[in-house]
Amino acid sequence: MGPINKNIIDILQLYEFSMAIGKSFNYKENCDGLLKLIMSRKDLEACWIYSYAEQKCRVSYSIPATRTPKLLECDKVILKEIHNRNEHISHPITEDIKVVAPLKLKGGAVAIFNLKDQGLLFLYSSKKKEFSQIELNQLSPIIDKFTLSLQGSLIFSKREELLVSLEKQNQELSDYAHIVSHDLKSPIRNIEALTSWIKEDYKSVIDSSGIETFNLIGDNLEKMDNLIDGILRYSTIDKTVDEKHPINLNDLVEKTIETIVLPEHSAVKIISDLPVINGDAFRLQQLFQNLIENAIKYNDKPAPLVEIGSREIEDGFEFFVRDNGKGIDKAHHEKIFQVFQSLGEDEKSTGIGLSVVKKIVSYYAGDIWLESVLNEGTIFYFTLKDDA
Amino acid sequence: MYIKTIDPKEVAESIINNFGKQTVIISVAEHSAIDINALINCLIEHHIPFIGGIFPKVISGTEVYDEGMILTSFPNVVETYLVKGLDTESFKIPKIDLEDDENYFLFTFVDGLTTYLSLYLSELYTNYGNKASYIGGGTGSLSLQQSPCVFDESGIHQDAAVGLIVKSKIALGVKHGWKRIAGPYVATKTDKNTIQEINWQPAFEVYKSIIKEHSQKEINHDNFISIAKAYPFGILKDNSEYVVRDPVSLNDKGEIICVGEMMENTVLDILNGDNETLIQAAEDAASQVINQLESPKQAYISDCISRVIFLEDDFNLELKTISDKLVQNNKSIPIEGALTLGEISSFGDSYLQLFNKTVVIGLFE
Repeated sequence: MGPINKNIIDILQLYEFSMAIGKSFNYKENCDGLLKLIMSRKDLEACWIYSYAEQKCRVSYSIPATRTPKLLECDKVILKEIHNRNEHISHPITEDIKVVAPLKLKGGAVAIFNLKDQGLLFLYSSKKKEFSQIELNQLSPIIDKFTLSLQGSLIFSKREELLVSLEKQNQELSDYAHIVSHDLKSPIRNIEALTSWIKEDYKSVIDSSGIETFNLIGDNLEKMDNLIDGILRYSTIDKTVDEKHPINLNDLVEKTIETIVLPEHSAVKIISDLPVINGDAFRLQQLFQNLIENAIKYNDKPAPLVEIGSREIEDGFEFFVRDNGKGIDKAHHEKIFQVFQSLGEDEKSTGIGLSVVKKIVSYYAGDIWLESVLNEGTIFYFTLKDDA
Repeated sequence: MYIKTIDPKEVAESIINNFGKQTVIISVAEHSAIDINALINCLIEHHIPFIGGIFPKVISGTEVYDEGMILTSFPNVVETYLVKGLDTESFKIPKIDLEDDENYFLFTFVDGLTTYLSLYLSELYTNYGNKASYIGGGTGSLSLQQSPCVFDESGIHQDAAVGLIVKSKIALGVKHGWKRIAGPYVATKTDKNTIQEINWQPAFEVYKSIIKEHSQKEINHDNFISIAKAYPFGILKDNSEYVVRDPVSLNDKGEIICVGEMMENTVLDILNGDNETLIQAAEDAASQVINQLESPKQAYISDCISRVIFLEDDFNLELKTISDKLVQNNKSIPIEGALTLGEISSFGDSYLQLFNKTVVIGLFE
């Protein structure tokens, strides 16, 4: 074979190796794709990768597979020293190398490639005295590309783990919500019925203080019932099927206002034209209803006023719901969006309304924030994309 | 030992008389009239442990047989196994712990036409690595129509492999004798054992032009096998012989079908050989093994069926050449084996791959 032909073959082999990189996001399959090919073409006996985690080194991949992977203190074996050299090297089979090998080595040499934060790759041949510098140099760009693909694999696997964990948590929350709604509501209704029977059957022997106590029991049962409804509503916001239609928000908000029982002298006004957006009517109605009800409920002025408006922004619309209420201390601006976090001024408050609002806005990839002046009022702002 | 009978009892008696209760490897020629299921039941009745495979032909001495079977046995069998489901990627290789300082070899028969044959070999190596040497062959019919072709006490199976692990030394000789005539090329588009494109062009167009240039012959659908048998593909490996891939047919789309997987972007040469180079290779393989063991007692040959097709009457010369070489202390070593659809061999010092058009000689103590 002439030197030109040898060069062509070398280049084509590198092409073959490079095309085998990153065919899968799965770490093992990614390693299999390239390393099995290198082993078969380079006539190698074994290969393995050491990865780092919390000062320990462990074999994260090997052929042949190791059944009892070694967990080594990186700085007590040769691994850290080799890694710090930050280069690709050929190394004879010394005692240091045997300690870190996941299989019995029978002489020969290892090529050690630095995979940066992905650890070290060892290629082993029992037939070679050493890997030539040319071999190392040829494989170097392939291994660098492989290192990047391993980083991608790890990110992918972390994302997968996260998704599985989130899915599990969501399922648990959903299960919990259903348990709460179906199993807890029934005894609440029973207690409510039983107390009303006692009130009715023993009204002649219960004094006014007793009646007051029964009324308090009734109020607490109602609050608990509302809490349960709120939890169910909160946990199912992003679970229901998204049915998007063009929604005229002027009409939707007008209809929402009509459904709210307003105290005397209070008013809710749309002060600037609201847009038409593509979204789910039920969710959008919940969003505005919760904000308006909150603005009315916590208003201490003799003539509560709520004003609603919007403006167009780059990728959608910014909305506001402004009230002339008592205002919210800055210390509570984050807390109020957390579930079960009411400001404690209303005994009947469940602390779920604003968390439902935040969850709906987040579901549509929008933002929500507020500006408030104590004793003057609060403005809630939120953004929605025109295709919510 | 070679036995030609259709009576399972006779087979069982021969095994008991010659090998006692040792595990037996049974290589059956595909035109044998014996009922394999009856044979399996009979061996079970006689408490004979066994594995087996069906091959196009079997070898005994310097003869090739279309019928009959070869019985081979080894002492110190550690484990026998069956792996099913090689038509999917989800099969499982048995996990057997092998001691570090002992010599083992793994002997396997695998359905030569199953989809994930290469993955099976790769998984074997991933499991046992350099703790064992490997020898074996692809089973199946010369018609290349897939059918059940490996068996053990659980029955006869398609898309499966059987094997045994023996605690003993082995010597291996592997040669093919094919030489490069053109290349390198890249198999730019493949699907398992089908080459769709070479150098980004329809594979058959490229292949046809290479053959035309070399031999002035026009290869087409009708004469494909008769010409392609002399022009296999050679996968390039550092520091060792080509891994040969045998082109066996063309599909309707004009794509080339091989025995054994061809991975996409494989760098390959086109090879050619003649009777002389092939027989010389067989002699080299025999020379390679003869001095590796102190007291070899038997030899098993996995010889590619396509070598018979290529060498025709000269194939007996290949066997005679091997036989002449396998002599130690003036004593001939008995040769038996099978003509296979793919050959398996590794000392465990390199990744395990399927060979085609190759002769593998295993020598055992």
